[in-house]
Amino acid sequence: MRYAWWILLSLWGAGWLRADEVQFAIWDRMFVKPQLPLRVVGEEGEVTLLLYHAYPSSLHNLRLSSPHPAFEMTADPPVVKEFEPTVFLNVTLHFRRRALVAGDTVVVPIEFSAEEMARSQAFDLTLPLTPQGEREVNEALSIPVGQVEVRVARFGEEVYYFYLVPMGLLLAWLLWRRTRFGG
Amino acid sequence: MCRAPMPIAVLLALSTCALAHLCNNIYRTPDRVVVKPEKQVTTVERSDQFRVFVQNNYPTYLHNLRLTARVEGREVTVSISPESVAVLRAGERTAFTVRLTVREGVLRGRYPLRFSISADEIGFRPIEEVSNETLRKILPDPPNYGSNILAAETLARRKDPVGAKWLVDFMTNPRVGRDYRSRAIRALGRAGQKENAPALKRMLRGRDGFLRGNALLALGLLRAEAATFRPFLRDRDGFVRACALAGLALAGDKQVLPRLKEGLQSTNVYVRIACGWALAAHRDKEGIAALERAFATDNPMQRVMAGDALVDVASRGPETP
Repeated sequence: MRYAWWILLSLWGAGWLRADEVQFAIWDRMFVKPQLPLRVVGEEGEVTLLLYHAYPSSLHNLRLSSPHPAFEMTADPPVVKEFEPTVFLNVTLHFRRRALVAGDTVVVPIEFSAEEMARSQAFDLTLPLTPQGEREVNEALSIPVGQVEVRVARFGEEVYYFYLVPMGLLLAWLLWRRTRFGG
Repeated sequence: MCRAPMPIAVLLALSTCALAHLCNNIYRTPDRVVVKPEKQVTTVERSDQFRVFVQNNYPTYLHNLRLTARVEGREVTVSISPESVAVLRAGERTAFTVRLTVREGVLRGRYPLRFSISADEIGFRPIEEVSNETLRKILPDPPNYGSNILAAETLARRKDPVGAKWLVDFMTNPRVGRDYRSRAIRALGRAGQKENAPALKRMLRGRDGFLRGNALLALGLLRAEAATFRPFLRDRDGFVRACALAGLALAGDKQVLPRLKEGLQSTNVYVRIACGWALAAHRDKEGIAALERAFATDNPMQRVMAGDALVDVASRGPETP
């Protein structure tokens, strides 16, 4: 009987260690990216999220949900039983609109939870609602790489004054030489 | 009559300058995708097209590669083909064709055409952006050592001295279990700050072979000099010997790779992890396979060590072994 406390203590200690081994406080090592292009979400729509994490252990029972009042969201797969580090994972989110939303885009928080994470964390996903919003969202998710300059020219301006007029003058000069000096 | 071609040549030269100026600037994304337009300036009357070359300088595939372009206003419309390139191998180059069309009645002018690039493998963002202040708040948060170590590693990588000091104090604390101490040792190596090497070298004087071995791995990650590892190649502890070899390989020595392959046959899983880590850092498939096998376990100490190795290998560039 006198060993009961020690047994209880050791069991508690083992449980504490077990929990601690798989607990992570913050979501800074979980990376996400919507797969492009994002298309306009009308009454329904879907977005594929690409996920990757750099925690030194697997995440278990990863779930994605959205508390947005205007959209009903379901994830496919609904639960990721084991998500290993350095492995790419695709989760497709299906959206169904429940209420009217104004604007070209709408920000929908996607809540992430997993057994190993101490708390849930939301990621703001911007959904396009119009073609203009689609352009904006896709551009915002791409990496700018530079620009070239487009010069719009018009016939009758540069071409006429800088090309044809001098050519006409040249022709006149050649004709004048031929008539003046006889070729 | 013999002087007649001169004005013609001058006029032709002037017209060429007015219509097009070719430039070969190379644009680099913060990542490793090189984008090079065929023209820096393009003059369009009604329509024009040119190519934009894209090269993958990552050591791996890029999937779903897309080039997008935008012109301010509605005077010029732009279309790009193909819409996407399904796969671009490491070092491979492809070209997108950009077509410009000017609307009727548009006045002449200059319009910037801005390019953006995207691929499945680039442009990831962390779910939670964390400041140094938040990370420092996590450090004294008991009893979550796993999180504390990751937070300290991130701080140390950001050159915040609080992170490195916490890791050094933790790995030298004899009241902490060797699993967590070894995690802290590896974290100090993965943080990549060479000024932490002396603290790791002091760990080599300890009695615990597991901690000494991990200190050698961490010193390998910091690319310590070869003399640091050589005395431990004859150590009595097999794990320490394997870590000394692995440390040499992680520091850039390729001559030890055949001996590391022998280590993959060891009965000790930690020896296999150490050898697999160093081999995988040199892009050896057997090494990666060994790490993946070691990771598939319920033993947390083994899994986290293999996980540390996998994460380290995945985050390496092509030029670093």
